[in-house]
Amino acid sequence: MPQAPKRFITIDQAPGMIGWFDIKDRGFIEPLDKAFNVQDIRDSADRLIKIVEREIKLLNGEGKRVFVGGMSQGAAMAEITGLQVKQKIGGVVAAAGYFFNITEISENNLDTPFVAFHGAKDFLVPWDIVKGPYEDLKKRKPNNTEVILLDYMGHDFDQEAIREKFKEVIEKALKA
Amino acid sequence: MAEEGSQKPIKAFNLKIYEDETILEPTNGPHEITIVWMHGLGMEAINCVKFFLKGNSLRFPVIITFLPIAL
Repeated sequence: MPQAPKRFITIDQAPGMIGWFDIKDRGFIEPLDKAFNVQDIRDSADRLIKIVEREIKLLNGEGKRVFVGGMSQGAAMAEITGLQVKQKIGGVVAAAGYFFNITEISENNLDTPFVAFHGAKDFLVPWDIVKGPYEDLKKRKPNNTEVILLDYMGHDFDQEAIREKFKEVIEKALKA
Repeated sequence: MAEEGSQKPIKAFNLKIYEDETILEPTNGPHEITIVWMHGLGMEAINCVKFFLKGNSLRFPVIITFLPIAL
């Protein structure tokens, strides 16, 4: 794979910062392209979907053995990647992220386990802003969609809680 | 620290760092599952490795974990 460029992150006026997409406004205002560079999101999702597809191939086509996860921007990318990939995967586990309403949920992943952790004390990506998109997701993907609000968590993640949930999702997928 | 070889490790890994990916790969057994994990803004994939080296992660049937670095 070619070396990917670092990005200019508008909100931080930071050139050369590693990031999956540019953030223009932390208010997460609608439409989405007022808050983020949507093309960056689509390009990163395309790249990550190719990685997931490569892994499914390496696992002899058994998509249920591939899991996607991440934190913050990475969680947002994990959510769009895991739901858009055409082949069924084992699950998505994300923390302190957000759901992009541009996500085209693949039919094969409509029932795939999806778990998003979020902190009630997250002031960088406030729950009040992200809960709406998650409610929309639950309408579009009513089965196996779990959004867990942790009262004590800020914009970080309770690593052991996430590892425990990941383990549960993996074991469930492998038994199926 | 225990003398090398005096006890069996809980898990042993190979760590491979590429320009665009970091791969944490347990050293024995077949390739059973893959976790593709994305880091947050301003971080690098290598920062996430410790997440997979502690607690319940050591009980995952993980053989290969890919941690792609951001674009």
